[in-house]
Amino acid sequence: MDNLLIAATPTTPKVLLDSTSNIFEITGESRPENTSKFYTPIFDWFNKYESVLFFQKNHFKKSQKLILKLQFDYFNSTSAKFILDIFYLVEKMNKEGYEAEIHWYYDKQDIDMKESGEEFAKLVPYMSIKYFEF
Amino acid sequence: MLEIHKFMTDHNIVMSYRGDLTHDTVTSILSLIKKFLESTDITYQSKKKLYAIVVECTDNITKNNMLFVQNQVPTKYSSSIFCISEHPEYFNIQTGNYILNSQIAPLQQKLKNVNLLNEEELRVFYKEKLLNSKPEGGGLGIIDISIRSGCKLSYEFIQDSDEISFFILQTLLIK
Repeated sequence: MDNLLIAATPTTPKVLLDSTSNIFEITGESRPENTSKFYTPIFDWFNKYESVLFFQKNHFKKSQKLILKLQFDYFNSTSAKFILDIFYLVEKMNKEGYEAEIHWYYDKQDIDMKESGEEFAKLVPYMSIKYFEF
Repeated sequence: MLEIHKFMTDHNIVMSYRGDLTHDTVTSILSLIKKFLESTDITYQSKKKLYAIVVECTDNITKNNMLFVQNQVPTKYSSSIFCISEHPEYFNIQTGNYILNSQIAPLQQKLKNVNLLNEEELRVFYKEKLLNSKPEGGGLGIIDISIRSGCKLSYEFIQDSDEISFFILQTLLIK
């Protein structure tokens, strides 16, 4: 399966979804002109990825931990809904038996960003969320 | 020009823009704001809050202007105004834009509701909206502005015609 790489712009984050390492990174600022248009390829990719995971697990008994790394400088309120949906996607895979973790990175001075991560975490109570300050 | 300069000085205006606020113009304005914030002696958190308030205020206008295009409202009504003034204790972020008169009642109700809530209630309201809103139509912006500001929002609707009014939103951010 091809990886998904979207380069960062001043209004959209860098996205790297790597199906080989099972590490998914979203980094930067998120306030796209059309939020749905920006995030749809990410959801489409995850939907295909789930089929690949299912195949790997059933045919090769192979299962590797999935890690979602999120590091936002800023995200607007429209992006928040889409970020929450990404949390739900990872939670769904976790519930289906795939080991998964979410890593929330934030600037150590940015208390609001840390709290945003904690608020998202409350909405996926069974997920393992780790916090990293930088 | 001297008059404009004097007006801006007297009113402590550090940045202003008048014209059609599109996603691209907002991006340029935000880039200037980032530079302004780098040179301003306020806390990191205040800088982030000011930036976020400006994004949400201008997002509301750009979305509204897109609605105007869809409804074929004359382009002169896409002209908006945005201004930040800096005072010893606080920043004042003001926006002004035209809206359809039919938009006033729901917007006014939203603003009234938000102004009735304290910070904790606003956070609960934000979460409810986040969980129940449709993508791109969440109405989270006003709640987000209110949480980050920590102050009640001031607003005014000035009727322009039977169809259009000018909407002014003023947000304070204590330094």
